Amino acid sequence: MQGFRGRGFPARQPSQPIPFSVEELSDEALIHSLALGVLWSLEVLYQRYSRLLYSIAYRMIPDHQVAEDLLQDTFMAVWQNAGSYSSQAGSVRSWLVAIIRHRAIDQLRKIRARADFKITPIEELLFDENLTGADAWEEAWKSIQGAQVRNALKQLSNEQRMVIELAYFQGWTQAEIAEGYQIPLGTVKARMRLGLMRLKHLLEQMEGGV
Amino acid sequence: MHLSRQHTNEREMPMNCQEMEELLGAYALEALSEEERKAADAHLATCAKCTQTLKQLQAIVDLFPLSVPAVEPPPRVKAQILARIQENEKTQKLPPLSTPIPVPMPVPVRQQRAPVRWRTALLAASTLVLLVLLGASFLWNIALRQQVAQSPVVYQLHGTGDTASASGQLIYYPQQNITVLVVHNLPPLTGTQVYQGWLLHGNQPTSIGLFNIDNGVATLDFQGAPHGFDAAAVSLEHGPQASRDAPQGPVVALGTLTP
Repeated sequence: MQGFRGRGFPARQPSQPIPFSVEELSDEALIHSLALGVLWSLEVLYQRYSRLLYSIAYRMIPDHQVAEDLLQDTFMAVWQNAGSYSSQAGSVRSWLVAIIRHRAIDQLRKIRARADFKITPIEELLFDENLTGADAWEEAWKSIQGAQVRNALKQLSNEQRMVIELAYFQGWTQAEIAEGYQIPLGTVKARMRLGLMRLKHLLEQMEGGV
Repeated sequence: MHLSRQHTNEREMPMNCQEMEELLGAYALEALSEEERKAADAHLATCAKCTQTLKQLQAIVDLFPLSVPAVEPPPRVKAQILARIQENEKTQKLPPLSTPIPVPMPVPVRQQRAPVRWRTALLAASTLVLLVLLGASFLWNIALRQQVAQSPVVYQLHGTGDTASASGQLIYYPQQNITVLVVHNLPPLTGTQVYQGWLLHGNQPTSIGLFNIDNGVATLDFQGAPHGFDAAAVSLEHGPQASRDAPQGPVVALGTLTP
């Protein structure tokens, strides 16, 4: 650590290119600025995350109008509640994903409450199209994580993938899955836990192999 | 679909580790009922081992968005969001950008304002409210356009010595005349220690206050610009009070403010 010399100005560090691109601003800096009313920050966050959030919404409810509404509502919530964000609860990306996902789950629960709601057959739930999209996230995150996660999910057993799909992308509780698909509750719990443990193992193996 | 919650409704005893382990997957996937989650939270509050395992599973679940096929939102959505914000601000409150921020001005020399009598202040406030109501739409339109168009000025801060891994940014928003500092990877504080921000003009430091620390991210903001200063610095102080005239502790991050 470097100290001031008395009240003096410390020796200058090697000069950095200043100012640098605003694209390099951290998500936390943008959220903090947004909480102060800087609308410009919302624009940058929108550029960074709108495609991801829209894709999640559309994956959960494949209706463009609904996905648009969810995206709008999410950014309105971010604008109004930026001050409540705490990095203790996770990254800004996780926070944004949680907002749109919870809103989508609310919509899905309303749909499930309708009298004419029919449970999706297991075969449709496991349709691989959901896992074969072009990896558009590589550019955004400069990583191969997207492909790795999809590959790992494909390697789970159908039973494990089914409960994960229903819970994460459809917002079902474990008890709802047990009742809706006539599976013992203990089995649902085990499939969830073992499925995630298997994913962890697979992703660690892939990481080690890169 | 309404389902029974017999698993937790009948529970009186605290959950043990084995029961918690069974629920960890469902917890990470947010597939527990509210009652189940409360019971799990009570166990997690006292069990570091289960909490650690849960974090590992949550880290896996956090990767699921990466598996989603990418779909581009229509360009109109952004415009619709901005229009909704504009509408909300018009009907509910003044634009946030007009809200004063109760933080110290870093400018070394400030003019003192003469005290204003309360009746005059009340009259002025009423007039201001009226003017704002009458012109809100027009002014907000202009403010919004300017705000979106006018980019902030950003300077980079770097860790020094033992804290070389720290990094941060000083961001000045001209439209709002607000400066924000955000620093990552500072070492955790112990006891009464605090991180304090400084602007430096030549050899003269000016305190800009104490940082708020949230999960390793330090933030500080103040009304005003860093114009006329040569550098921004973060010092580690004994605390809990801020040092008055100059840092008493080591400088842990620093960045120059001159082009």
